Amino acid sequence: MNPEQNKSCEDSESLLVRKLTGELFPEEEESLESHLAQCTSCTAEEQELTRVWQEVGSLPAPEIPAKLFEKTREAILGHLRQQQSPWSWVRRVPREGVGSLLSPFAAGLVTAGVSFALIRNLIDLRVHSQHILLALFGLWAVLFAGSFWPIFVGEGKKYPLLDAVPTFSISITLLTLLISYLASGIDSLRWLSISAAHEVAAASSYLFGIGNTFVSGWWIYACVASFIGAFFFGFRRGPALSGNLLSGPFLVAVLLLPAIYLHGSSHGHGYVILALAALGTFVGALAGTGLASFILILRRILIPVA
Amino acid sequence: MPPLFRMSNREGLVSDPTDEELMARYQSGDEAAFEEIYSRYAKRIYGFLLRRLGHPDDCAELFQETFLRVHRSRSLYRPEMPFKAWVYTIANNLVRDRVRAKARSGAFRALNEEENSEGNWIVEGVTPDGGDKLLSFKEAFAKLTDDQREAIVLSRFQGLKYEEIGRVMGRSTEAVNQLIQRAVRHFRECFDES
Repeated sequence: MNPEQNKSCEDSESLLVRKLTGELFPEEEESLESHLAQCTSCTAEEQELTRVWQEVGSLPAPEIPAKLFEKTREAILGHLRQQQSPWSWVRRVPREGVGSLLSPFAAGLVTAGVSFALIRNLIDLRVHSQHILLALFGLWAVLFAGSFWPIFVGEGKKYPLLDAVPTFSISITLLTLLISYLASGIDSLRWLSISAAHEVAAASSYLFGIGNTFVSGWWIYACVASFIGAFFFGFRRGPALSGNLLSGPFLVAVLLLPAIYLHGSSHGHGYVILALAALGTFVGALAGTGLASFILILRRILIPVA
Repeated sequence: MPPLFRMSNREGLVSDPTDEELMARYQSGDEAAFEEIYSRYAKRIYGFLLRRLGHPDDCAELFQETFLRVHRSRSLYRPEMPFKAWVYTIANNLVRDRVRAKARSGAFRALNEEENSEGNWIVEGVTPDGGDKLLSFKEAFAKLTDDQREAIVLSRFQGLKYEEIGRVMGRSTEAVNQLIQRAVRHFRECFDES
């Protein structure tokens, strides 16, 4: 066999399997056929490979058990029907476009209005506290409404901003509760003293040189709120550090700016309180995500996947 | 199951909806579209899982999980990706996870040579003629690398094209070609020896 013929045989060899799998381009097929017409050894090779290919494929396809087929079908049809029921209207909110942003926003505004009206009738609020409450309730309600988005509609979508919503719903809720306590009267500051946080607040007050328990308390609770939020986030989604640590606290800081500034101005602290609150949310998120990641890792070590 | 609807094309012929068209309707909650797509793929996915895992119990669990994932993730599906490659990718990832998890736990060295040669990866009642042939086939299959086994199952038994297999396995078309070339030649050598 001359070298040229040898090379041609080598080329054909790699084409033979592709011929079996139907992957040859027309020009390759033409070239192969022309080679096979004049090469007995490659023709024999083709017959042999065809035999092997047919033998491998001679195993009949296994039949799926009828029970398994029906069970799976019914399970999914059940899900589909459930989603089409009148109660699952939230699932049919458009998933993309402006509507996806406006729907939770509108729901949030309505909730905020109702909540604020109720609170205002129950508590004699001070004027500046009303502004804070209004802003916080608005933010809380928007986030609260939006938190249903990833839960009911997201269905496993991993959009960092959507995932962040429930986290900050919790954060803002806790902050709102704090403001509600404080707004109900100066005596309510005392409730801080019965918590362990008071000790940390006192230390913070000393370190930062701000002699105001309220400011320190806020900082502490920003930490706690973000910590809890980040913890839930991390536990549910895994250690999504980038989404959680960067976008999350940043969002909280930005969303809280108006309310924090209002409060800071009224107490003569100005922008210092902004930095404290932002720091608090970052520290809280870091601790929360770290703990969540630690628990996930620990769980994998202690409870191996079955 | 009768087709859901018939579409006339320009030549007046009728054609069944494509997988991608069915998925678009399934995404909007169409039960009939789900039923059609399920009937198209249930048997194929079951066959794929059984040939990859070998054990009907594992296979049943992953079969359900595959279709539940398809259902849960249907809103993420984009028609730019062929549905066939998408659903096999889901099933294949589940198989990989299962094999890794069981190998880690030490309870099951999935598809390794020793176990697979004695395993039950071909279900009863569907064995080909001739016990010797079956044995040599099982031995040959067991000696493939996991990648080769994955590629040959998707190609020979599931009828996927190289490009589709590449998507499922996360490999290039050329890499798939190499895997299948080696697998076929391996089978030939094993059959020759037996």
